Amino acid sequence: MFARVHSDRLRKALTAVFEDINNAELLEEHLLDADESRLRDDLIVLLDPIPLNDPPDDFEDFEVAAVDGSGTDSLAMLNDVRVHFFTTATSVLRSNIRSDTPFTPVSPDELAQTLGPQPHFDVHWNSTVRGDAKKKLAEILETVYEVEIEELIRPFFDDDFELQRRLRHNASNQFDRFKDRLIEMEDLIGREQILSSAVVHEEVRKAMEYAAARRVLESDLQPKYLLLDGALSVFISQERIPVMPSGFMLRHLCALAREKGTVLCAVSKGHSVPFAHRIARMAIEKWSDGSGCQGHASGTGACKWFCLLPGRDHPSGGLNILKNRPYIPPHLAIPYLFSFSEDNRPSRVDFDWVWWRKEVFVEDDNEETHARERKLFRDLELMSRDARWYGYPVPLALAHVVCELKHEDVEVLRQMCREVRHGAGLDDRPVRPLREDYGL
Amino acid sequence: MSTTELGERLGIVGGGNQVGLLVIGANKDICVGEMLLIRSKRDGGERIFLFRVLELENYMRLVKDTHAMAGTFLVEGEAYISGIDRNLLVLLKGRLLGYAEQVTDGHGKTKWVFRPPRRLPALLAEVYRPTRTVTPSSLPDMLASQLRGDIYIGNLQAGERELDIPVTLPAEYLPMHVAIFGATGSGKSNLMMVLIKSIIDHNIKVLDGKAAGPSISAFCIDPHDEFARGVDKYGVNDIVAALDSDTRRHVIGDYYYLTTSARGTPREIQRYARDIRILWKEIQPRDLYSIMEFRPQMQLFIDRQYAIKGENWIASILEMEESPSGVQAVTFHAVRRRLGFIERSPIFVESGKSVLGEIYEAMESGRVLIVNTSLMSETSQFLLTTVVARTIFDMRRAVKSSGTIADFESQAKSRLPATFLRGVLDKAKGFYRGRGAAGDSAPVKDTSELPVVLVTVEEAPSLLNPDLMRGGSVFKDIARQGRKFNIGLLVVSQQVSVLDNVILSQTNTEINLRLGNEREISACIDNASVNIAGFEDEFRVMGRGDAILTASYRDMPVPVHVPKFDELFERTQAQYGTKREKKEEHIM
Ligand SMILES: Nc1ncnc2c1ncn2[C@@H]1O[C@H](COP(=O)(O)OP(=O)(O)O)[C@@H](O)[C@H]1O
Ligand SMILES: [Mg+2]
Repeated sequence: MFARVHSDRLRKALTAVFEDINNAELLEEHLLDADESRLRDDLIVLLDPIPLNDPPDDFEDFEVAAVDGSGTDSLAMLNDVRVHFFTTATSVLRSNIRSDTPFTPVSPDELAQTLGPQPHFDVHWNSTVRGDAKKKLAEILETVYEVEIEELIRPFFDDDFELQRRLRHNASNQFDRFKDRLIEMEDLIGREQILSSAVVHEEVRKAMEYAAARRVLESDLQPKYLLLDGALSVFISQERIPVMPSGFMLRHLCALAREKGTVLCAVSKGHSVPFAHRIARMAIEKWSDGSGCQGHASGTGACKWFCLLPGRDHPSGGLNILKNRPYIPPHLAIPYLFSFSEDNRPSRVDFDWVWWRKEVFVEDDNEETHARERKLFRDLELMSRDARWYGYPVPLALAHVVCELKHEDVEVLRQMCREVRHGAGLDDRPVRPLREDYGL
Repeated sequence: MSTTELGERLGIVGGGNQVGLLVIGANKDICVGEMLLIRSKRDGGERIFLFRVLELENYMRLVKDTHAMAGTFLVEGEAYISGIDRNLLVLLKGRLLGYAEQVTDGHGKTKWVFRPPRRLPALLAEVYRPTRTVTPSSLPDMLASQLRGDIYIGNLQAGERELDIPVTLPAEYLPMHVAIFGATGSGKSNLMMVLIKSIIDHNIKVLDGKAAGPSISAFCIDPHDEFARGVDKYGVNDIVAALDSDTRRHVIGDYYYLTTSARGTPREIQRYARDIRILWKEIQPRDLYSIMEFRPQMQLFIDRQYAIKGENWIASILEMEESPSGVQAVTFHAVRRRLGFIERSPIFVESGKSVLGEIYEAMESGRVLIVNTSLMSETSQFLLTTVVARTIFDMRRAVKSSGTIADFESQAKSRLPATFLRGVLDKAKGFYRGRGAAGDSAPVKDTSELPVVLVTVEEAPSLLNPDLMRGGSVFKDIARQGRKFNIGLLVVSQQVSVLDNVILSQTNTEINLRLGNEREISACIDNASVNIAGFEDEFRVMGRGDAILTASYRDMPVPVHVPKFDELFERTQAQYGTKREKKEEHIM
């Protein structure tokens, strides 16, 4: 085995790398020092969990939905053709906190009626023919996320304008500048050269998840929260528009959610926030001091907290530790770190900036802002107490379980590909990844 | 299959391994022995796992287990499981028995197959409990390979409930020997009566063409004279009496009840009773070696006498006044003493009419014989069992090693006492004559076409212990080779621990009733043909008629409830009364 045979050399290489990383962190340590008191005194907020046996009077039961997706970019390989496979699943739960079953999943039958059978799946393919990648991808995205292009792109420009307006006096809505260039789905796709199979796969997968989320927002369901898996990231080109259609879709979704009165929460386990472990430690210290913790006496006594990660655009300025992290916060998003269980590393949740600015943030009133944040995280915490995934929102966990594509599943699907080809009288070529031919 | 079809929903799988599974479920009166069904979806297919509850634990105590979820419950007081009532959580430990899945055969037909638990159900898979009213209609099909056969012994038991699913033994495995283990009062005698009834029922079906043959014969020792009359209300005699005369003639014959003295038997049984008489000449030295210990010098003397006098060996020894030359007086007297019980026995007689030939014929005709040994000494009972078993075994051995009927005749002559053979030879040739040529040049049948013969050995420890089995016990040969000759032992014992290893290792089916003590429980668990490690608690809570069936040809230990014979008879007696419709081959 590789790792055992070369263990000495490996150890050396790894030691060097981790020392390097450590040094890099040390170099930024002063940034954290500069942020420390702001983080500790202002941004980190300790949370009182809702006691199940005695919920506060103002607590109202709610509905929550979550979407997750999975897939493989190499279901089948036929020369230069790749077949991609995607699944998504939506879960919906209803709370009934004053009963013995605080959260009950909506039955598969009811879900199927409103959202179609779960999980949802799709198969697509692409090749390396010139121009094909872009065309194919556009075609796929058109069917996956069916929408008029103008309707699709409008929300991005409106929201972006909203932001620019707060930063500069002379800001203008860029929609008019771009509307004649962005006519077709294909126009929304950045340069063809970046369309590697992995990028194509990611893009379709995102589009499918967003489409599933959109189905929830356009259905008769009335979720108070809609949870997405991953960050609320929109990658922006030098022209300051999204590089890919999924960026526009995400803003489209945000607009739909605001209209419906649903809170969009993008939860990511891999938060990529520097010094997150140190922020978590500060939270625990703050909690054990008992400082700044209003009425934190009831409940279980576990340390639960959240922490806003303000960027440059925040009225009070951005965190120093994020200075060199252009993607945090994502464009038009508000990220928080949070932890509902000391056993797990903190996670991150992103909200729509436009919504947040209107519904959470109160200019010059920290108290009120924190009060609103608390209500929000109180609900998130409540839905993260399923013992199976303690600390992680159960709706996302359930959606994940339904759509998860395991290695064995892929094997079975590949077998099915062969059978289907055989059944259709097509040639009997193997479809598995080519390296498997050599046992590699 | 819809959710409700599996029964009552209890909870979900919380983790575990092959020998212990954590089921988090509602605390709905779950008991040890409960059988749960787990629906697990993987690879697009659905598997139904069977899980047996062996231990119930308060989950708060179980948190000491490092299991993460259990830990969460203790540490995080406000945890819940979405969709499940959090106040009703209980952790069950138990054994995964296996799983059923549907497969499609070459003809596009789907059927259930049952597989040993080499896999685990998916985490969070739903757990159900079949109830008397909601039992999945497909459960019997799922478990077909584990439950189906020819001889009914009881119904599938799930915890404290008995399901309406019959458990049966395949006739073809009876020659691989069956053991019934149970303490006094555990229901061994009742089970024997149920088995006898099932054998008669099977033979009636074979007679009517409703079941594939061969039929089954059984030589049933009844040391307490219970089977014919019954313990409470009904007995086997009631079945016999209920049969129409035609059926009775075929499956019972003239009699089924053997006793020391038929005259002392109640009238309703007397009609079907005969006296047991076995001639000294029909006894061979090894019959005696199988039931009591003889020192080598004693065996030498007996063998010499047998070589000189042939089948008159017993009479010749009993007539001797003093030790013959070359034999020490102590040896001679010891042998005389040991043969004393034969001399005094009402059933082993020097002359008169033997019943051994008729016993043999009954066994070759698919009949059941109940042998009341309550008025005999234990030694006589053992000798009787041995002579009968050895006689049938030697006859079948003669068939098996012959090509033609003529071969059989010479083989039989070399193996069996002439007195016995003279009386049965013509009939025997009839039993064994196969298709083809006529007369003595006809080929013999294959032994697998002959009736399965079950010989019960009651009070087995006295006969099948390591001391006796060390010598040339007949039962050692039957245990090892009975399968070839379609002869099986039905061993009935209160104890497992004292039986000889050859017997235990050759027995492929065990019906384990309630056992007397911890030593027997652990011996029984060690001996079972299917792994039932961990079932200790289960044995401790077993009631009358509760049994765990283990068989080497089945992957799953099967919990059975044996019905009380009286109830079973009342429930089914109507089937004997009316003239049964026979399945005939219609010629159109
Ligand atoms: N399956 C059963 N259901 C109910 N009662 C039973 C059952 N089996 C046996 N019994 C009762 O238990 C008592 C002892 O049964 P028995 O068969 O004589 O046990 P054993 O032969 O093992 O000593 C009898 O009174 C019998 O009626
Ligand atoms: Mg008894």
